[in-house]
Amino acid sequence: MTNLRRDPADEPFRQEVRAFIAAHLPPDMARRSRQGFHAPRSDTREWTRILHARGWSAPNWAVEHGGTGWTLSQQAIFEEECTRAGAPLLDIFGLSMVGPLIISFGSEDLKSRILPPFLRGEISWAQGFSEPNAGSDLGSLQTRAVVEGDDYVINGRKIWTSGAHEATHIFFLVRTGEGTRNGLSMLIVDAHAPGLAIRPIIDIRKEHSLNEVILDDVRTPVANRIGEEGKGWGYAKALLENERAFAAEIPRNRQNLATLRQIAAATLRGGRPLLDNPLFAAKIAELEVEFLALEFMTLRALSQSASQSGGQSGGQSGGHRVDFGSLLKVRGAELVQRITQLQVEALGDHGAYFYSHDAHIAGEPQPVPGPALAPGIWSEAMYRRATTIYGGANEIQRTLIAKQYLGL
Amino acid sequence: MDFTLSEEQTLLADSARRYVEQTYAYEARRAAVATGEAFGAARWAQMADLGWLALAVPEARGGLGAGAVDFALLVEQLGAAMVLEPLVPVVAAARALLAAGADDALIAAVMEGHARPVIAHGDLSAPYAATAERHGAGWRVSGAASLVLGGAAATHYVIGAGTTAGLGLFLVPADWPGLGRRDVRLTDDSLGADLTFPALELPFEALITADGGAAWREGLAWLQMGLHAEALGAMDKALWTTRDYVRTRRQFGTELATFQAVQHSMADMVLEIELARSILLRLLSTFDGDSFDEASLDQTHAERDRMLAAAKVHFAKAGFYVGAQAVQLHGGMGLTDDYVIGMIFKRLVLLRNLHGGPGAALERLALEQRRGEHLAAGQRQMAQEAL
Ligand SMILES: Cc1cc2nc3c(=O)[nH]c(=O)nc-3n(C[C@H](O)[C@H](O)[C@H](O)COP(=O)(O)OP(=O)(O)OC[C@H]3O[C@@H](n4cnc5c(N)ncnc54)[C@H](O)[C@@H]3O)c2cc1C
Repeated sequence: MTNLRRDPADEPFRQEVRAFIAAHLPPDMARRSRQGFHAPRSDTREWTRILHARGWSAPNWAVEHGGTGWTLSQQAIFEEECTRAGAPLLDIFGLSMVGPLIISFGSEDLKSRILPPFLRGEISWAQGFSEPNAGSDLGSLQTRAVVEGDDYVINGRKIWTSGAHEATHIFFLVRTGEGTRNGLSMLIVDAHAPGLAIRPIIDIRKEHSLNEVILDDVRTPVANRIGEEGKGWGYAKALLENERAFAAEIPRNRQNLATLRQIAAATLRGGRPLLDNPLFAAKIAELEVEFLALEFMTLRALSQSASQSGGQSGGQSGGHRVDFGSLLKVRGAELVQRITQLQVEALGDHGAYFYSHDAHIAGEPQPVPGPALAPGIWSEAMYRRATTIYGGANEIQRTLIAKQYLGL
Repeated sequence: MDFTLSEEQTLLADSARRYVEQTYAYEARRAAVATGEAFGAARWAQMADLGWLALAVPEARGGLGAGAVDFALLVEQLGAAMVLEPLVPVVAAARALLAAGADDALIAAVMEGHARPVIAHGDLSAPYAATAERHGAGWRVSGAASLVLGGAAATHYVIGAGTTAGLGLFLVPADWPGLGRRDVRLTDDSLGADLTFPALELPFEALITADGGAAWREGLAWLQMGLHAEALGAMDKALWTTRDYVRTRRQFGTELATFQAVQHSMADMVLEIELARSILLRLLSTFDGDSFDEASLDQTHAERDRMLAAAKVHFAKAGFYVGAQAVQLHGGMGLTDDYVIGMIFKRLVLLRNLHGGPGAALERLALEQRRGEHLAAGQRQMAQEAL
């Protein structure tokens, strides 16, 4: 039965979450993640450890796998409160992508070796899918793994592997046979395994988050395979679907909108706050409206997948089921770009100064003038040009929508 | 939260869809317009028989007590056919009357289809369109209301008039002396009415409540929500009609549907529609059931007003995009008078610009956001000082 209301029990829950965060979130961590620069992975791991002590490090997992078992609205409240307080974002690769795959398809052995340390903040992940000649056409990838004894031996090249240099583990999509549907497998590899070389790619912001990963006779135990050999494409698709459900980037967009309003309130133009300029205020309001719609669409998507696993019929739209993943991806990605772009615009001349990421992380004052919020804004706006490219580019998603939703 | 439709809800939507398919094809609508009548009396009686006029009336008042979500589901289907009957304006007026404590006989007459009250609001950004003063044993009410939807088919008008005590709600029969009504043809071929009443003399009992602010807002909220649900239905209709067209229309030796430019533009139509559905659901989540719980009323109403503005902005944008794109993808066919796509576009443009259009709603949101940011800044300041 349709019920669009929040549970009255949600309010005490919100207070509980808020009090916990206030008591346990380190202030310097909040300062780092409030600004647009990428928070270091070490912050994410430390915050995960703190949450784990309270049993909260996997807000979206079931209790039997070490999660919280929270309802959708509890998860949303937790995320709202974290954003509000400036907590670092949790490891989405682990929580929403590879984690659920291991839970669904991994062996008991794999689960017991990987999940507990992940929940304690001891594992951080990188995703090794893309290759120089396999981007949008991922199915054509060439990195190959062959079985030798108890191990797979892997050879090939991956590219754009975010955070590989800070990761403890990388999950790779590799070729173990011919074709796409039955020729790919998913393997977990120690990021420090012999033969695995990680080369930095400096990005448009002059920061290091991207890498090239070269695999030269890298060994990983067969026991580190997720699910069956040859089924990797199906797993990857499930994972990317899951990634896209989060691709509306609700937490990030919420935080970015709040920051945008703060900048606009602090920036004076002609002696008055930019926020009081009707033209500019209307631009922000338009983005807010898009956010409000997108946030509810995310709830619809999550509720549909919840009712799917419950075996009920649900989530219809005008009588038919909806593949929300691509819808969320397209507009979520575009909204991230529109908000960050408007943040840069709001900075005015201060959007022209280059602020150093290293100085920011070290907590040193930036050697250029500008409002306290300015560092990181431009950097984020530049980096997020990637939102419409990664996770399946928007062009690919639009084609998918035409096919899946409209049957074209 | 649970977005799953119940069996009753699915049945309701299905029966409305069937009704529309069987009796309200676009040719039937054109024929109805050609009669010059504001609405079909026989169709109205059918709608009453189907229980649609009782849907949003609480069980305690003799209705079906189904609530806002069910109403929106029903109206979405009717919106796809752009029905001429004033279901949304009449139900909105009924909600205002219910909140104002109108008597059961009137509500019963609405549910049976005999009474068709509509709200005679003017500009939605003004608090009300009329003033009232005591006059002998009764009242004298003066004002005007233009572009009253369903106004040409109404049996009664609910007039909100400022009195020294607050906003009084008056119920006035459509044929009351001194009430000037001019039926006006709108761009979607429907009939509305412009009302002028420089000095209406009403008996004392015409006043339903002297403190009608909340009831007035309730009615207007239902009106706006209902029109959005209608727009959603119209957009959905435009989408699938266009999908079928591009699948069959051939150029360059193949179906239009095979061109990626066509596919991507249709994907954007899908996006606008599903976001519109999402924001409509978000708006519906702010409609209280029928318990008028005083404590939470103010807060939920503030949130409802905010979502009404947000929905207005999105529906204005989405409606125009979807309608215009449907015309574009039909080529010359989209420009003809006797094809449904052109009418859907005209209807969506009309709805977009109604009630102050997206501009007024954006302005409201922008003001609110400023207030909110000043509040948040104050809180940050306090937190800083506490450290
Ligand atoms: C910042 C960033 C972080 C990333 N992190 C990771 C990571 O952690 N792990 C990982 O595995 N990968 C990662 N990626 C890689 C990402 O998934 C790929 O960039 C993406 O799949 C696109 O591939 P490509 O770059 O080869 O572009 P191409 O596939 O060459 O596409 C170039 C352009 O052509 C368009 N195009 C391609 N095919 C079609 C078509 N059929 N129809 C219409 N248009 C088309 C695309 O939409 C795009 O606009 C990351 C990328 C970026 C930018």
